[in-house]
Amino acid sequence: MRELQLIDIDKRFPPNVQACAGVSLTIRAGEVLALLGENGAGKTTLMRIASGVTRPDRGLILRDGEPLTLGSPRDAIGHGIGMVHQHFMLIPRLSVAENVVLGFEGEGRVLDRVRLSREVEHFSEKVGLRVDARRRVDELAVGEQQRVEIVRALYRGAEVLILDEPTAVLTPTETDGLFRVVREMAAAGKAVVFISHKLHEVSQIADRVVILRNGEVVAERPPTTPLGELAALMVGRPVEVPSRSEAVARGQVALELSGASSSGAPGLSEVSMVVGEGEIVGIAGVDGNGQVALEEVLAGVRPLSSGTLALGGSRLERVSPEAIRRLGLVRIPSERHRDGVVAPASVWENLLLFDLHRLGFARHGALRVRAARRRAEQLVAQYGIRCGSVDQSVGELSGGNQQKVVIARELAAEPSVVVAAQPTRGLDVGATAGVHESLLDHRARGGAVVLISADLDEICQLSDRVYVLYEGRVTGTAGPDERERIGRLMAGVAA
Amino acid sequence: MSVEPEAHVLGGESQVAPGGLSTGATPTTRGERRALVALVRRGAIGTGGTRLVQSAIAVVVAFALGAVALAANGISPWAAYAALASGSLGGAQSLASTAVQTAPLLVASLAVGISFRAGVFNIGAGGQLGVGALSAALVGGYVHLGSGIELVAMAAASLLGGALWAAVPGLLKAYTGASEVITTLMLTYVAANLIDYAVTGPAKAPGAINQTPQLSGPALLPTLVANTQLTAAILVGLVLVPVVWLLLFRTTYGFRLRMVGLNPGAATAAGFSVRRVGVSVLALSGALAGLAGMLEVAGVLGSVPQNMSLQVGYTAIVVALLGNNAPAGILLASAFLGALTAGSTTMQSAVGVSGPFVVFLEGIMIGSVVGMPALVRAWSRRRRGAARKAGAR
Repeated sequence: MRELQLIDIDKRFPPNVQACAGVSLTIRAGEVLALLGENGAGKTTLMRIASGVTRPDRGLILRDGEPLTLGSPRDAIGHGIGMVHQHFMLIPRLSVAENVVLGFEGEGRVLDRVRLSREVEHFSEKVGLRVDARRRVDELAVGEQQRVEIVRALYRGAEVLILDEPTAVLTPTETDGLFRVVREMAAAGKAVVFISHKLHEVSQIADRVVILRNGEVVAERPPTTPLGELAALMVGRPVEVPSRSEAVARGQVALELSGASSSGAPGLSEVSMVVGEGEIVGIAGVDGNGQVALEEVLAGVRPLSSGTLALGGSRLERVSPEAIRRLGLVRIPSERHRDGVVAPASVWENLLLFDLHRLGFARHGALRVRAARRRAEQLVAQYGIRCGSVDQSVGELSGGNQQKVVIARELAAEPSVVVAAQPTRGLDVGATAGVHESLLDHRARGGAVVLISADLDEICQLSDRVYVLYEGRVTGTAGPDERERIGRLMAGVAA
Repeated sequence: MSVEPEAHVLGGESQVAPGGLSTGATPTTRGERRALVALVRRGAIGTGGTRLVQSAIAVVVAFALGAVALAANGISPWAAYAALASGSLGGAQSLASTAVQTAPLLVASLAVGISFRAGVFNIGAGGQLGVGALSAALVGGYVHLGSGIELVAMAAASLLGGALWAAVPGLLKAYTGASEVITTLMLTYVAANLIDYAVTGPAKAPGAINQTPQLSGPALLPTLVANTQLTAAILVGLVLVPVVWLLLFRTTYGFRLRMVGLNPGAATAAGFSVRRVGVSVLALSGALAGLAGMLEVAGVLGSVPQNMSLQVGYTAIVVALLGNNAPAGILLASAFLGALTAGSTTMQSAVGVSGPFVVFLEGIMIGSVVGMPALVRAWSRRRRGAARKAGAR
């Protein structure tokens, strides 16, 4: 195969999402093509169409000029097109070898596991992606699972390999490993499509960058293009990336956790950390290493099994969400839909949620609706929340605007400590910049921020100091510029 | 504490559910309970306008299917529905009879609607109504106070009785996690047996009939229109409609209640106690249901009889759903179902339709209210599909 062409692809999701609008794209053998775009730009949909998962409403797919009809992923792989999805499609209880050959076991009725394992191992060595074929998939680390996915696609004869946000779940070391593999595959004549919204990754790995916005191709650029230009193309307007000012003079200790352990999978074990006024402390780590437990412990919804939590210098005897909030700690929850907003309720009701009594919206048990709405209108203006009116239900807003509602509400409480858990997950570049700005503002005013994020770029960009969580423990601390050290700590390697 | 909204408020673990909502209860499957939860959930959201349209369609669908069923039995649907209309709306007597049926139903439905708003499934309004009726009948029958005060005392007794009866499932849920769907329902049977015990034993009126002492004079609600059973009960119901609206939408308690109902996770994060709201809303709901019982006793029955019908408690669920758990919607829906009940007697005698036919109509209405969103979705999908095919040609 020399090239795969997508011509004039249209795809609409009812009621009114135009995921792809007349997209044309050429994927060439021997090169890494990066598809860059914000969430909802249509990158994934386009590649799902190319890999037979989704059917287009209109458009053509040509392989070396021959039109293809892709009714299923099986059709696509038959034509040499394989995709590694963001959420892996592996069967956890089966072995690596079984997962690799699943559906392609070949002829014969008896599955010879030993021969199979050997064959898969040989194959994986041949393509330079060693996997232990005998192990069960659920015993593997995320990075290894991803390798299995890639091996599987190649085993099935993929000549075009589509990787959807492949670095989202990887540690920096694993990411480096993946990039080497991607380069090698391209060198071996495969076509690799790399879907991402991370600018620096794209410029590092791609031969060609195609930028998608609102379902359309807006530009094609070489990887040497300045990141600011790529960002502007992606968002559709110039983006200012807020940067951290010089360290604000460190004040008193705002938050202290000592020897804290909790339940959870994983829970915290013996976590100690100090957060001072006027600083942003980043909590780095690969997802699922105790971030949720930490977030919930700090917010008072998950009890400590041992250890102590102190706010503003005084140790909390009875930890409860109310008590913690009264002492000035607020949370931007990672599960926005579960903990952050009441989606069917209106904007003003959501903005009121925590401040029912504090700001005098309650008078003898009566709700002062007019005053609450007035304040909501102020917050909407102040934080640039885009909504029809404060009566619109929050569930109808975009993710970015929902998050703005949460942030407006939490910061309006004039907290001393903000626990921001994955605050920009699922948000576009513009909304992300807005969130970062809010956190930096809070820091500039002398507030403390605990930034829990799986996005290392975010951590390094905003934090004054970094703690690294690994399997529920703090494996070490680092400065925001020590990326490599953080990466090693994230992988559980003593640094 | 990790927050599991579904399990927390909805009691997602339970295995048993009410079966026929209108005809009583049978233990059924987890699937049906899920369906019930989904149905009530759905009732708690959606905008007023679309819900009104959905409810109207549900009513039309029920009548259409009812017509088919009638015709299949050799009865003219036209004649049956004409009798139904004349028995509920034709003339002062009929209207009065509709209002008589509406009053306790309206109050019980407000009770159910409040609990649904909080994501708490009070299925046992019937039991609370029975206990309220009994409490009122005992006060009215044995404690003689002056006129006016008598009724107030009876109302207070019914409120208290219903509240306590419903607080039991509330506390069980809060402290043991027992699903209120099961406990409120089961307590309805306990209530029915309690009533039978009382009227055959300790609270039996002198004479042959098993009932509480006949209420008289100051213990009866004043009649509004001479020669009808229409009493001030309907006024109590009408006053409660705006009161409940104010409670839900203009008080901090109502705000907490609704937020807990819509997203217990976020409400917990906001520091609202889901547990406290759950207990208090059940007590409140039970109090209102108890008051509905007082209205029945002091307005229509005059005493609590053996085998007192607690049917209103189940019909109230239908009303709350049809009315989208909104006070105004509940007013409309209860008047409608009140009319159905009032007219059904005429329909029975005029064309020989059996009594349960109305229950059958109610059942179809529930089905169509619940199925409507799914139907609308399926229909619009199909339409889009057809449009696409047409466009492709």
